[in-house]
Amino acid sequence: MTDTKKSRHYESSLPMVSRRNFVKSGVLGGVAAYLAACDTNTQEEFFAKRFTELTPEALKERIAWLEKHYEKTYGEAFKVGTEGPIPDVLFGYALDLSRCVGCRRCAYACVSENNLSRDPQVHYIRVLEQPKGTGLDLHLANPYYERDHVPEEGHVYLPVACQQCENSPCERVCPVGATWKEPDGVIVVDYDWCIGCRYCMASCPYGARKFNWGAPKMTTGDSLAVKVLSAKPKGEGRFEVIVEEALDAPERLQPPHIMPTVVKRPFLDAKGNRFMTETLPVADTNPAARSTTRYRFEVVAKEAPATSSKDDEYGYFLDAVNPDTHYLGNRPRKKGVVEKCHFCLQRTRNGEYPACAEICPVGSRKFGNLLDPDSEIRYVLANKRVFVLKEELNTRPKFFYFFGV
Amino acid sequence: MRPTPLALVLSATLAFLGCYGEGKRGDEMPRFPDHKEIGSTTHSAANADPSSADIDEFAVQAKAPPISEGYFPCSDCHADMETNRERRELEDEHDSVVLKHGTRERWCFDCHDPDNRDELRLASGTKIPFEKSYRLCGQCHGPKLRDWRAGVHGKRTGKWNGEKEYLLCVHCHNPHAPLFAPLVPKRRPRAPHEITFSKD
Ligand code: SF4
Ligand code: SF4
Repeated sequence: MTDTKKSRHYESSLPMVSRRNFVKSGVLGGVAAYLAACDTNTQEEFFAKRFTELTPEALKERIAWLEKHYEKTYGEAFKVGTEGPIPDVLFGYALDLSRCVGCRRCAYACVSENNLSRDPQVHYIRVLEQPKGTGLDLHLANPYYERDHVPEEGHVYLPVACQQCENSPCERVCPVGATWKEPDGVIVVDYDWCIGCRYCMASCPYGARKFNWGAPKMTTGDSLAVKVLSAKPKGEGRFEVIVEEALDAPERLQPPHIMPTVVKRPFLDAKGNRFMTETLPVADTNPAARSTTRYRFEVVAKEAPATSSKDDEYGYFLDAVNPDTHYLGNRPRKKGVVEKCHFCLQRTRNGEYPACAEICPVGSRKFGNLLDPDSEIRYVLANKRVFVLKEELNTRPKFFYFFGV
Repeated sequence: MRPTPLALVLSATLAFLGCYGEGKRGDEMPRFPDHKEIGSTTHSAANADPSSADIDEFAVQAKAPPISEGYFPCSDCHADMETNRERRELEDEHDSVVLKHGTRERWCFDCHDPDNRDELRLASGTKIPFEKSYRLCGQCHGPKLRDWRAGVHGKRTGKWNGEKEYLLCVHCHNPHAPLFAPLVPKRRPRAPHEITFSKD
């Protein structure tokens, strides 16, 4: 079993399953013959080894192949990161239930950031609406609420995604070891190793795992209409652009899944010229002042982007894939595999906050290192009323709910 | 006494933190070089007098105070005007300011300095710039200021293990009417029976 050498700087506790040896033994000779007739993409994917078993050289090759493959498929230069866990870090999340207003911005920021399929629709975060005073009687919870404005009188909101259980049933039931807990506490999925049996979905008490029933579609060709309010020079050919969501735009211009704030994306100004957002558009977090959101971001350009002079003159953010990915995080998935929230590994292992925390307009989402006594998350645990969902199941979530008031 | 559910949750939490952090907690824990500087002041500052310490030592302000364009410096107009200390409805200027914040108890000059409009004024008479308005808010909202300083009330962006950006209270709450206005929610997800997909 020379090909099962550990490649990463931490020990894997996984049982060794070598699909290649199995194939070699001839039991699947027929399959091998079938594959020989397949295109090279299918072959590469079939013989891809589990992430934890790749030697450094094999990993490099694999990444190079993937990056090329994704670039061909999605027409953008991709980065597939392999950043490992940071020593002495155990990620934790806390959500302030007394603040969440149920606006679902987190759910769509996640779609953009993590390349979730728009069709068929996959959402990691489900925001549950529940009548006040009914405790945690989740059978009364409704994820499909439709409101003109939130919060709706007499209701509370409970966003639920993967709870990153320390004692995770999903990991235990996986028959092929395609899902495991990383040393920083995040349960990850190797999308090349998953056989799509969906045992983990059955075992997860939080409905956190999602299955790709069809080939995921990461873009819709749609765009989000915005009013381009201003474009000011910032020096060195940079312009700061301020736009506002155009809620009065025709319905077809407002697809539900485009959230411009967390991913660099193509932007068309009021005259239709194309720019790339150079800095991530930052949301104006003053919902008190207006019900639409303003974003400011920078572009590099020779000429200033055109502003909207008339009311029905719009700029657009285009729906696009996020090419900034991680092997165990948001790299594109395929049909027939399971996926779930991974605390935005591609961001958090580089020190950034997860996309949902970054976008929440009321600041109800807190993220950090549970082992650092000075972290925000430890302040929450020490000073607030905290609970976990379905505590009685002993899953020991690292996702906490608290009351900030 | 029967243990309350909360106590159980907390002890469970601590128990798991205890075992996963074994040997790595407290002072021996290696830190990110920049984290120590930034993080170490948060809690000690949080436990001290909420309005005395300044936040600047561990985070940077994300945006300038939200003052309507063309209004600052206030002294441009006010320097030559006589100060009218009478409580009244504003008509000629600032008429969009409707006070919904301790309406009976509060008035312009509880926060704005009557002698220098470019500054704010604490109850003690201490003058502070608009960038430090959190100290003003913290006079009444002490616990909120404490949570905010720890990064738990309000929103922090930047790095969870490094430099953070903070917003002032007034970036999210209109100081004259601090209650949040309702938001338009994003579209609901599709129910299972509505899920469609193109066959490949
Ligand atoms: S973005 Fe924040 S307020 Fe909106 S639903 Fe998500 S957690 Fe709640
Ligand atoms: S919430 Fe579900 S998917 Fe996430 S770790 Fe727990 S059991 Fe696994």
